[in-house]
Amino acid sequence: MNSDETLIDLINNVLPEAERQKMIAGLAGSKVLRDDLSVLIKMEHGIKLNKEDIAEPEEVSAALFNKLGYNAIPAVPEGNVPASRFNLSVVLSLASSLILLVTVLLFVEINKDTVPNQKFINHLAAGFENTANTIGNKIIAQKSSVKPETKNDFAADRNTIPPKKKKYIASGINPGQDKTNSGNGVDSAGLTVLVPDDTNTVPSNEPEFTEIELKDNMIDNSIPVEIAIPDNLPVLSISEEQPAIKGESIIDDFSLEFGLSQGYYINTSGIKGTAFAPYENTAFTIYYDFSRFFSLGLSFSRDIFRIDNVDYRPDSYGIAMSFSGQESAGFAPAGNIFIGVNEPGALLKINTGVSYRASPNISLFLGLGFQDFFHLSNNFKDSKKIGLVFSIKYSF
Amino acid sequence: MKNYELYSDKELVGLLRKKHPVCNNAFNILYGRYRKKLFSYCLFLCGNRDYASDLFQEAWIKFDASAKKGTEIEKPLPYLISISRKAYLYNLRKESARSKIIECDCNENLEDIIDYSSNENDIEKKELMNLIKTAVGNLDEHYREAFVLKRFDELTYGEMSEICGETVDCMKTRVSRATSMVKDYLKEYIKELI
Repeated sequence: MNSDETLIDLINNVLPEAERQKMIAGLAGSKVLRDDLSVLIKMEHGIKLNKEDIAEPEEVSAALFNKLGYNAIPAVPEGNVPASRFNLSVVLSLASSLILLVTVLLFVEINKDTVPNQKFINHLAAGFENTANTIGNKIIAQKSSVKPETKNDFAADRNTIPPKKKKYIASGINPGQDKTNSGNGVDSAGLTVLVPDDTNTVPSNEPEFTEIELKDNMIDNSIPVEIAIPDNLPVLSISEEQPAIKGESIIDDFSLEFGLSQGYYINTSGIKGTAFAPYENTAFTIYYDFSRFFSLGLSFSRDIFRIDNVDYRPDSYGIAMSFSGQESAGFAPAGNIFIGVNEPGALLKINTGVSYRASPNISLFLGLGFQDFFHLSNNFKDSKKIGLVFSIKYSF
Repeated sequence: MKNYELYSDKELVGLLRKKHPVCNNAFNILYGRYRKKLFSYCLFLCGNRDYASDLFQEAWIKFDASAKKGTEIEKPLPYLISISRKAYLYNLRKESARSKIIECDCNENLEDIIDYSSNENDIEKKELMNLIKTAVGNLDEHYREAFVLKRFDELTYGEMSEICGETVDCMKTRVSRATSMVKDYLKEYIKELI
């Protein structure tokens, strides 16, 4: 074995130990050998790079498989780190964007919730005010079980009521007529209202409701007979507000969709279309319904595409946005867009059609779909399909 | 589904006689194992990408046909290389003029032969790759073949001698001389790269 062969074996770490020691000793004493070693290291590295890089053209493989009657099964690209990095970065970017978007939407949604709740509190306060019951011409102010601080809140709330509005409410009552009334009166429904004093202020230490004598002409539509009040009569009735509170569960804004599609290739030569294969063209999506008509979701899609007679079965992950229009007899125009990434590249899906609400929670979709699979490795290529899409959606 | 990746070459060749999809899967595995090495050989042998593609396809088609006929093939790569080599030599003899064209392509367009469309952006690596293929392309045919069979296709000297019809010692000598010539060629440029 000459020195070059020995050095190459040394580089490849296949040299027997005895020869290795001998060669290392030789290298220590010979500059020529050391120069040869550095050149051979470069040579081996260059050969390795070439071995990884040299490959037959894809069209040659496609033609060969076609001639032999085989279907190429795409292998995981060797050393395709950049592609993986691309996918990873795109996935991370999409995921980050989606999380940000969902966070903003949730924030907006939660803030929106506080408005009706505030309305509810105000209404509740009014309810406390309006719990006074009329018996004959008397107003019996029912002692509220509300805690003192709540009362103070209500009192503070009253302070904010504009004086003119109060005057309107208290029309027919002379503020100075009855000192015991302390400015309180009754509205047309016989409920207690507040009237500000001359300084337009209401004392914060509102006196306890007391029995008030009313004049005969004070209330026109007061109930003329005495009404017995059962002990168990609820003090407050908030039935109208309850659905609004119960319906605000976040899970109610989510829905799950499972879809099947079957497409026919529209751009790849030599493709006649494929037999129906539902398990190779599926999609599963979790949607967040951020408005009445639009939903945004995370989606997983498994499809089959063919490029140059090579079948690709990419598993795609991405985001989906769906639209569902105004319903009429359960039917509504609908559509969705999916953008996702997969190992070989990316996938775009656009579906449009009609959805039908089969039950309050379940809707069906049937439409036309366009799919474009982008192969982003060495040479950019794509495969387009058009076909029918069916999906079923369950809304929580 | 069976994991055909774990099958030996001999077992996979035997499966090529089976029906679809077994033969399809077996062929895919064998093709994945040896496509690059075979194409490297074809490319360095003829120096022309289109011609190399023809040799490459012919080798696989004949290999598949032989396997289906029941031929025992224990080592697919030497078998495939032998088919390519025979086809190349046959064409050389048939069309002597063509060899001149091929040699011309080999010397003039080597940079275009190898597919550099990968994500490799390192200029230094590309320079090194170019140097290697130029150095190998400049070798005489026998030396080039021996060098490629040994360094690129990683065949044993025994397999090489069977393919080339020469003795093992002859193949060793050719590889050794080819290596020395490539090294000398690189030496002139390597200092710039180091």
